[in-house]
Amino acid sequence: MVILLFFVLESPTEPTPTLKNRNLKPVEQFNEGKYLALSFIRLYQLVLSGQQGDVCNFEPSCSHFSYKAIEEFGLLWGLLLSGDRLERCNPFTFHYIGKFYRVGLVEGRGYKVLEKPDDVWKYK
Amino acid sequence: MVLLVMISLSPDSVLRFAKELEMEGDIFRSITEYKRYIYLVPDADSIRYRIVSIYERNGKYGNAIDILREVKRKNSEYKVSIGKLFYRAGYYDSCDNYWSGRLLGLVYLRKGEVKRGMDCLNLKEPPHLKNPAIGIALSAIPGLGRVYAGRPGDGIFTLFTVLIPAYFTYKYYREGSYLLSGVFGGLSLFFYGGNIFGSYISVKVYNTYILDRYIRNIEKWLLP
Repeated sequence: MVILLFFVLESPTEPTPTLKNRNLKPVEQFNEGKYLALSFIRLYQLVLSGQQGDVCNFEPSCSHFSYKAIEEFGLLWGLLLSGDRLERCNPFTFHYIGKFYRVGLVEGRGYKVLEKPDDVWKYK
Repeated sequence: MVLLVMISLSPDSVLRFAKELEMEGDIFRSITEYKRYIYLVPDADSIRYRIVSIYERNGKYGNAIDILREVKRKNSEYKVSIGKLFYRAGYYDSCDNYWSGRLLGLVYLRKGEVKRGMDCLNLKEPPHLKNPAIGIALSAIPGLGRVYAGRPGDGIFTLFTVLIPAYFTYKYYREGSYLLSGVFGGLSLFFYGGNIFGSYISVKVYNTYILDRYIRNIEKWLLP
């Protein structure tokens, strides 16, 4: 009887952790299109990008910009941002420095137009 | 020896030394000496304003605000100065507590409330901003939206990036190569979407640039 009482008194008062009361974060839904697009960009970076050398006017380069844009803002917005960026990466880019773009010295790449996806996204 | 120490610590010699350092360009050491002077002469507000101007010139607005808050006579000059520091630091909401009248117009302009700012500043000519909706409408013709946003070079390039894949889509479709036609169609659509989105963004970037230039012109005569 005493032993039984001991077990009753010493039993844990806190509920045992179950799947419900544990603070679990919702799992992000796997987006096939997004990962396919990211894989294509990675493949381009590994195979083609090195062949043509440093030809992009921007920092980060267009492929890195696109990768980050798709990763951060999803497939649709990422593709729109990428399309816009690719259209702006042309020989006329340097005409707009000081007006629409700012330039910075990038280590190993020289002077480049600095523009991250967030710099464009904030105007949305 | 005691006399020598007294002479070297006299407020006048400290101030002279601080000015000397400032003239030599050793600004942060000069600030230390100015602060030493303020320790010796606590009512020296003019020196506090001097430190503030040094900090302001070097973009250290937080330090400048800290010094300015120690000013004894909190008159209108104090209010304009501290408001200016908050303005330069980009804390436009804090300017409301110190500024009034025309200066508030600048704050409204910076916040994007152009009409209100213009009324406050009693300005007649508005900045020549463009309408993003027109930019989107014009982008139906690839590149025209970008031309409207003041980027003709980008517009020409955009036209080619959309038209060339579109041509190949048509060509392969006519030849019966539906896979290639689909690939080029997708590419054309991708660039066309980028063209519409980019036109909208370009107009907004253009407006930001024009508004910034407009405000800078007002700042020249209103905020010396």
